[in-house]
Order: sequence, then structure tokens, then C-alpha cells
Amino acid sequence: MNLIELDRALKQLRLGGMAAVLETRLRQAQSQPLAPIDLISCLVSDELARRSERLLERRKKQAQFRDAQKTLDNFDFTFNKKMNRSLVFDLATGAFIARHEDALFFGPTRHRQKPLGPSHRTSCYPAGLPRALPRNPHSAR
Amino acid sequence: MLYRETHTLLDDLADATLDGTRKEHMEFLVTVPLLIIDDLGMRKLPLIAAEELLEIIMRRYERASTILTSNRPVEDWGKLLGDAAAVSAMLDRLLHHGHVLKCGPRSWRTKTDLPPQEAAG
Repeated sequence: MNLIELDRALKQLRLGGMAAVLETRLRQAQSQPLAPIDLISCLVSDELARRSERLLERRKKQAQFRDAQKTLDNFDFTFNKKMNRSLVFDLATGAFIARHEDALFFGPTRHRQKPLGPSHRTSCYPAGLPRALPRNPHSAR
Repeated sequence: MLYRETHTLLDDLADATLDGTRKEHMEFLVTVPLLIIDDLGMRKLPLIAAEELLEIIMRRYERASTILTSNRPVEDWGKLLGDAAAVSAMLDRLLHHGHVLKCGPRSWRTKTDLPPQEAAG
């Protein structure tokens, strides 16, 4: 098979992640000594990574977060220095969910903590939370 | 995970009650591993809000996690929801195994309006 045929075959097998990086990985294998098993490992990892990303994107879309683009990565903790940063990151691990614990986020009147609420939502997803329910669960049936 | 603003959560429940699927809908709400109830206090809520929220919190207590956000202090919740007893029962359960995060005092939304020196705190 040539590259074009391989690309088509991978897409037919629904291995789009592998197809997307095939040429790059082949060049890498040619330019540096890469054992066949290592080449295949890279391709499989690329496919798994792409599927994981797409699953996360699909779940975020289904959750219909209001501020889906906000994450803890771009949250400015220095703006309110007294906030318990350690607690924020503890909660972001999602460990409290396995323990069936709850959390209350308070802000004084007129001051909003929305940037933090959505950030927690999106950061819990990589922890492997079950699928989000759509806004109208009845429509999922 | 399920995210809903408080008023939307209650609207959805009201709709489910009207179309006869309340039991099913409530089952969704009380079993999802993480329920986020956002913005308690931002909007005027229906008269049965306290009762509905209490049922959800009670049924989820020690079975599933809930995050609740509010810009109102807990002292105002009784008045806000019109049922001090229900609020007390809710808070008792939420705080028992709960983590409390106080955000602020400054609003991130006004951050861009402040002069750089003041924004840096």
C-alpha cells in the first residue's frame, strides 16, 4: 500500500487519529532509529490520545457549560489572594466525588465566582467523570 | 455530571411534573455522580424551591456529590427560599461532608476595569 491507500484504509477502519499523524511518524521513523514496535506504539498512542480528546470535547458539549472555555489553567488566583487555592486544586482532582462529598462556593453580594465554578466543571472531566446528561434528559431517549 | 443553574433545575423539574415524568426526572437528578447547582440567589425562585431543593439534597446526601454556588450568604437563604426549616435541613446535610470555598472579595468580572496597580492587589 502507498501512503494514500494507507490513509484511506485507516479512515475506513475508523483510525483517524493514526491517519492524521501517519506521515509525520513515518518521517520520524526514517530520520531517527525507531524500532517497528516503537513506531506502532507511537501510532496507537496517537490514536488513543485523539479519541480521548474527542470524548472530552463531546462530553463538554453535552454538558452545555455556560463558560466551557474557562479552565483552572487560566484562572487568576492572585486577584483574590485570600482564596483557599489548595482547596480549589483538591476539589479539581474530583476525589471528593468518589467519597460522595459536597462543596459550597460562596461569593459576597455583587462578587461572582463564576470563573471558578465552570473551571471546576471542566477540570473534573479528565478525572474520568461519567458522561454528562444533556440539558433535557428526556431528549436523550 | 450534570450542570444546571438553580432556576433552570427547578424549571426542568416543574416541566417534568407537568408532563408526568417527575419521578423519572428526579431519579436522574438524585443519581448523577456530580450535580452542580449554580447561582442560588441570582433569580427569584418559585415558592416550592426550598422543598424541591431539599428533596434533591436529602436524596443525594452521602450517595452522590453536589456542588452548590451562591452569591448570597447562608444567613439569607431562609428568606430567599421562604422556608428556614428546609434551608436548615439542606445546609445540615451539605455541610456535614462539605467543603466550603469562599471566593472574593473582589469580582473577577470587574478586574479588567481596574487600573493595573489596583488589579494586582
